Amino acid sequence: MSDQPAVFARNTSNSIRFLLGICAASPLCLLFYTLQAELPFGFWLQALGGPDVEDVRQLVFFYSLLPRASVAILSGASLGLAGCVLQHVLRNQLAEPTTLGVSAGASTALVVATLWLPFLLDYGAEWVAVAGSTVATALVFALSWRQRLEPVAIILAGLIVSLYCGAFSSVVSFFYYERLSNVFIWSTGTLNQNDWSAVCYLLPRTVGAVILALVFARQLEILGMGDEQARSLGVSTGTARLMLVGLAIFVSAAVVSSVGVLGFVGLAAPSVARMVGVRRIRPRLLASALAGAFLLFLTDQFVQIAGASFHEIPTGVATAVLGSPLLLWLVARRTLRAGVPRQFSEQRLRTMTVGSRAPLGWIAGSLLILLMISLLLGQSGSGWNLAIGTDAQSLLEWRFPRIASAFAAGAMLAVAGVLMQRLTGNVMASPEVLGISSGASLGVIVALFLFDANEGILWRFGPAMAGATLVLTILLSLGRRTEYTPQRMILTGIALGTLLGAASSLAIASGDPRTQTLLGWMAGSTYYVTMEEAKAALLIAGLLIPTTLFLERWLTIAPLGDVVARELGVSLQRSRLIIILLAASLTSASTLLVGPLSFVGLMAPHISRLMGLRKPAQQILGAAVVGAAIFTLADFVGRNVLFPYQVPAGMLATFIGGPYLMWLMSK
Amino acid sequence: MPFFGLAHAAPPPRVVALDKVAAHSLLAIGVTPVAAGAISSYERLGITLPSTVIEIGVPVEPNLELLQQISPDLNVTHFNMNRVEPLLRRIAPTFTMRIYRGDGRTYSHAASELERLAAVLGRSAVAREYVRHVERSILMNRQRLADLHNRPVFVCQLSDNGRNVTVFGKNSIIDDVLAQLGLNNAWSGATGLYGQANIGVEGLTAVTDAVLVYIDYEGEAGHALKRLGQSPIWNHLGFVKRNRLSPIKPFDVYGGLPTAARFSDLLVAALLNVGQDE
Repeated sequence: MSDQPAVFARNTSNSIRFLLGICAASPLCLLFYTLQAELPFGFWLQALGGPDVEDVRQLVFFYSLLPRASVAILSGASLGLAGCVLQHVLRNQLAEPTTLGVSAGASTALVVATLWLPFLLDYGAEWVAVAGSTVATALVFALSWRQRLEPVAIILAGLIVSLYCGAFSSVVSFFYYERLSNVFIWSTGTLNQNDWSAVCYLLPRTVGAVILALVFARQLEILGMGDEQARSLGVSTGTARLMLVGLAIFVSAAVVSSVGVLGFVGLAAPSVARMVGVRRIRPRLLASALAGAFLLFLTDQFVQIAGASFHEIPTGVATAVLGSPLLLWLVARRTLRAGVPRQFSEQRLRTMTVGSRAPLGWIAGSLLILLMISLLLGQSGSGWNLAIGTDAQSLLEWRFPRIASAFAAGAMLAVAGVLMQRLTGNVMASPEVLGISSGASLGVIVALFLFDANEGILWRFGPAMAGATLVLTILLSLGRRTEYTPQRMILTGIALGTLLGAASSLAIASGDPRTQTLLGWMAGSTYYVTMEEAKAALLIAGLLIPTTLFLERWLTIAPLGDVVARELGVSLQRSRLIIILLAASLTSASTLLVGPLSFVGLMAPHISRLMGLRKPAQQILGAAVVGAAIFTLADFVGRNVLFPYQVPAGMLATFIGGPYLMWLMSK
Repeated sequence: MPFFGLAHAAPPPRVVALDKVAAHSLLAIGVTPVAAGAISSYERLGITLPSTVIEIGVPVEPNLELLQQISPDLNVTHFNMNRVEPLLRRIAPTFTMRIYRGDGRTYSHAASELERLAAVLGRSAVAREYVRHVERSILMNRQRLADLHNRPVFVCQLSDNGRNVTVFGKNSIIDDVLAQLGLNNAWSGATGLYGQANIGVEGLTAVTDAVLVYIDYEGEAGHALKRLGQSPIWNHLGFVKRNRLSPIKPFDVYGGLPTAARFSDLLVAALLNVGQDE
């Protein structure tokens, strides 16, 4: 890498100059416009020298607009730099501060402090957030320690920790909705300022991080080549990785704690730097930081200009809204290097297999017993009761739709997970990653707020189906041009996931009490599933899951890659299309039932495989049974553990499954 | 037509309040609910229920099995997102109070919905008396605030990051009460269905002679003020400089008629607290 032909070097410096040009020119014009709108140009010098405190315009100019612009630049640069370091160290284009649990850890810490340890906030919410980020990331490291901090292990651990923190925050938000408005507002990522304190806080951290990253650029470069080469060059990969990831986490935690969740910048900025063609490590670090600063600054200027005439939306929401199409566009245009080494993940799963083959019948039997208990046993005002006798009929009318939908959704998510993991050869893949569940949820949110949709079955099915179909169409049209490359699909899914996160944050932070319904559904509650919907769900699951069993041959070949497939005479394009359609239908159906939380879709395929069920058909059946069992159990526990409150099943599935996966990771 | 006509002969109707607006409204017309949703959130907003009231779960997902066991005569809810209504109807007749309609007439809906609810429970006379009582008390408060007439007032929740505030404007019951008290709502910008808007502190600069009233949730407001005290913009806002800034005790910002009454009283206490100098 270090001795590239001169032509690349020239290209590189040209593209950097190009990037610099754009970075400098366009947002500065916007900044000029924003500043001019508040304070005529003639007063600028006076305001800069020391604003006249009796002139509100000068105060706003000096203590709000200028710090805000500075914070946008610093935050964007920090996140861009952090994203670049992380993507390089972990050799994964999907890595960014958010994927490693930084935002989730910070958010969880703020929730806990607000509700139970308010005295901690006396020291400043920033420190609480930084502490949360640090703990979450430390957990990520601990979980991947035994795998010598290998890239896939870290990403997987980050994902699990994020989902786990997310589930925890959702449970708590569901019950303490009204007391967490501060946390909700923080999570939308607002950049507005009323003094220079955030700038003073961020400036040394950002500059320090940039310098440190440049100093350690060589280690970074070596880590990017992979462990074996690094070791042969005498670099201790564990320490170097720990140090560099630590740096990235620290600087992004500083941003997250001071302005909130700014999704996408850490993911998009390094992509922009890469797409522009910056190859060597130091220029790339700088280009990523610049691209991050540019993206966030530009977005924030647009938000302010739009906010002046319409409704002010938080910048974090805007970065996600603007960033998703940008990334989709970049993904569609450029060739991507495979980020996750495919063999690696396959190998890892193989070595992780524990115990001997567990008979499928035995698990299915347990599932049946679980279903019976779940149907018949429950709490009432006077303690535990068996639904026998006169009450039984009416109790079962309440319970059956919930249990049936949990059962069907769990099975469908699990099977969709198997399909996605087989298709992409990536252990991180799950229905959520495909973005279908995000699309369905976005549909529901849009309907809720734009059309004030209230009643009837259409309330949920119409918009959700529309959203899912839209995502599917985007996926397919992108996919047709790129032969359904797994990395592209996952990037697409992440783009949509970020968009959903931002949209739901915005909806929740609006303080509108209606959003509590949304929280319930997004958390995977089976509460509102009707008898008819439950029956339909069982029918759909009963039709779709057996269909997937016919894909045995395709699913065996798909993970081996295009070349092998072509040699075997299989058209991957057509088989991929069909697998995608099936996975999308399974995901849509389950999302409609229990919301977008899909830990089960990630977990059940792993468990099935760990039980020794390796052939596709076996794995599908195993995963379906495991998925159904997890969701049924989650629904049962959720209905009873905090009686009369009911914990949504999706969250509990995450609670049940999270520790298992963590244990698995640390083995 | 009342469901429970022969009030003297029959035992009092068993009514379940799914949320605090319903509970607060029922208490106002002298009906104590047998069960209510998310009771733990009531107390700090000044809604007091006897300890015998059964907890039924969060308003959007009340426990239906428990509700069926309680077997009420009437469910009362105010939620706009009434997906729960068809489920409740399977257990008992259900009354939904439609107060927040986004048409800027929240107070009048709160009053008419309270009377409509009372009619169902055969307590129309009590409700009419209560509505008149609230009107009278607001009118009295208006007179007590005569010195402050036409004064712009911000009513807001401070966010503890010291950068954001939630202000209440058109569509909130706060806005209507301010008008009836002869005050101007200093926030005239866009608001949501419930009259709320999240803005940055620098958004408060537009009205220079305003009074700011912030809801004093335990602890939180203190953090916010500590932060804000370091902000040059905040320190130069008119209401900070002239010390026209006052805490107000918590009330249900998305509440019904009883909230209007409580807010009116609390606001008078808060405003009379504010320095009258100048």
